[in-house]
Amino acid sequence: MKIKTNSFLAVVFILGVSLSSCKRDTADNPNTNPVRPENFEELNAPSSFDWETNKSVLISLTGYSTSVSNERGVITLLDENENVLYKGMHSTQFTFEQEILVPQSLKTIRIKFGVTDKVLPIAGNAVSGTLLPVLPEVL
Amino acid sequence: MALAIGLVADVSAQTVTLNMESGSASTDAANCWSFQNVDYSNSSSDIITGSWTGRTAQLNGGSHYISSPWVQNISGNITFKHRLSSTNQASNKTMYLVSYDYNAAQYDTLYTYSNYTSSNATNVVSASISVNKTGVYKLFFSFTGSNGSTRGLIDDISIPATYNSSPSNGCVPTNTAIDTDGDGVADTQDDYPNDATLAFNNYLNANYSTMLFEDLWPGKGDYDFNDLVIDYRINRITNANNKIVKAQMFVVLRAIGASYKNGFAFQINNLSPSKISSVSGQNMTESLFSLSSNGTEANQSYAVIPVFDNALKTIGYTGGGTGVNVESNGGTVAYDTTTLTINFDTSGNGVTLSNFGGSTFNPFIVINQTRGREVHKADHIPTSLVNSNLFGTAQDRSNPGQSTYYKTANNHPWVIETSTSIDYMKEKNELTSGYLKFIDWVISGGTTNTDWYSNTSSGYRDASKIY
Repeated sequence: MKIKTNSFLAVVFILGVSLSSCKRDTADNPNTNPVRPENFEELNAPSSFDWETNKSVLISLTGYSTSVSNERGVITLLDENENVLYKGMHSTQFTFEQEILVPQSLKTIRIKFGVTDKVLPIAGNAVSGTLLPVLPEVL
Repeated sequence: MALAIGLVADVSAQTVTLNMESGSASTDAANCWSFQNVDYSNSSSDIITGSWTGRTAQLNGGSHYISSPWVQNISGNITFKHRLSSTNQASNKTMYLVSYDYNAAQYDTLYTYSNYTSSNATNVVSASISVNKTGVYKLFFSFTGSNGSTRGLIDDISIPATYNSSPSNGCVPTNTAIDTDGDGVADTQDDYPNDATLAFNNYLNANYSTMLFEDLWPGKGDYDFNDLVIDYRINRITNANNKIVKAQMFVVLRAIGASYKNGFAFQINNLSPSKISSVSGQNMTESLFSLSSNGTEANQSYAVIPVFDNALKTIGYTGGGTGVNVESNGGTVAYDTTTLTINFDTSGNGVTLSNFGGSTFNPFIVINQTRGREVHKADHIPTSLVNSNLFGTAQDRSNPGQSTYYKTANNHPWVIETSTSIDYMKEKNELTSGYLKFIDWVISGGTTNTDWYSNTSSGYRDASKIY
């Protein structure tokens, strides 16, 4: 009887651990939730979820040397609808770094600086590349 | 970098060169050389000198040239080397050097070579053309021809002139851009060409954003997120040194699904109140906020700028009931737009766009005239004047020790923000009942259905629940 009791307790313990583990997974990784919530009350959000459709993106673009010292010009960042996301002066030889706020749905950033006019993809919360122009391929 | 300026005092003795040894036409294009159907080749069969040579596409029609940066006062011999890559159809190929006069807008052919033959086309031709021209010019090194697969090759260009282009200003000739206010920003790029203190509009949000508030904190609300509905857009106006001179904030109060007399303000995290010179346009009718002489709230560690202190008075609603613009047969009034102008202290290091950016802009409401009862977006820090005794009470699970704020046990917020202006819910209708993909967006951690608020296709919203 004692053995049976111990076995029963062990099963209960294991089951309890399993269930509590499942619950934690569901809260932290809601993709595993087997039942889609029907309303707000049932909704478990990831702990890092910020409830905004904007996100901050860090733009980092390596500069280049020029034959003109202290060369400065206007750099402009635009979204896919030509909305200006940033506009300011930049010295050519330095790396350009700026954090901007964009909709989460935005996939690319257009960069205009000097003769450079190119589009770079947003990877997570960053855009990285150079300020150099992209030339058409010569066949 | 194959571009150089001779280090001599006499500008007429300077030279502008291109030897392709950067190996990157992009690098040289950034210095105002231009390439039309020309790239660099390091193929041994193409090399004229060094490791790289300019090479055109096949010369069977179209334009193929390298153009120089703008140069000033050409005096001496322009030199370069050229040949063809093969003898195929060589006799109908021609190489030109043409100048373009910026002021006169005229072309002038300085050199023509059409002596390529089936026996000599791959031999290097060293060209040297004596030129004396005063003014601003661009030079075109061009190959033409029809039929065949041969390509033009060019190397070691040297121009006895002064470099006169502005690489970071679209490679226009130096000192030709008009700058009326003299702030160093050309009129064509300056949003304020007649004001030397201002240069650029920098909107924090490209479009009006919508903030949707619940106002029962620390208790959870009814999830209709219409207790206060605000659209806003902020223009941070910078000068030629990229410092914020002033900001304009446009706040549109659209709906109040509550009876509370809520106030609205924002904090700029980590920014000292002393960095604000003045604020105008605030709508203050109560004694909720105590203002310093510069318009910021007194006794705050960071700059806190109240916008209005009583939403009901701000929107001008005098009727009964418990809501404004939230019920089909309820009280309705026109939206109110408050325009705030914030002037910044530009001395010292000034204030940058990062100082007042997406990470530091921290809007909040103050519930029903109780100053310490302020509600921010999830995980946004409170101000110095919050009643911290409310943290962790009712359904709130804020834990300042872990930098966790304004979330319930299920990580529910009291504020939702969208990046464009959206329609909000009718009174007592959960947000999830109107925006049908909202739940999917949340449980994906924000990775799917990112257009839950903007997509009007079938299956995305139940219009009967939305005001």
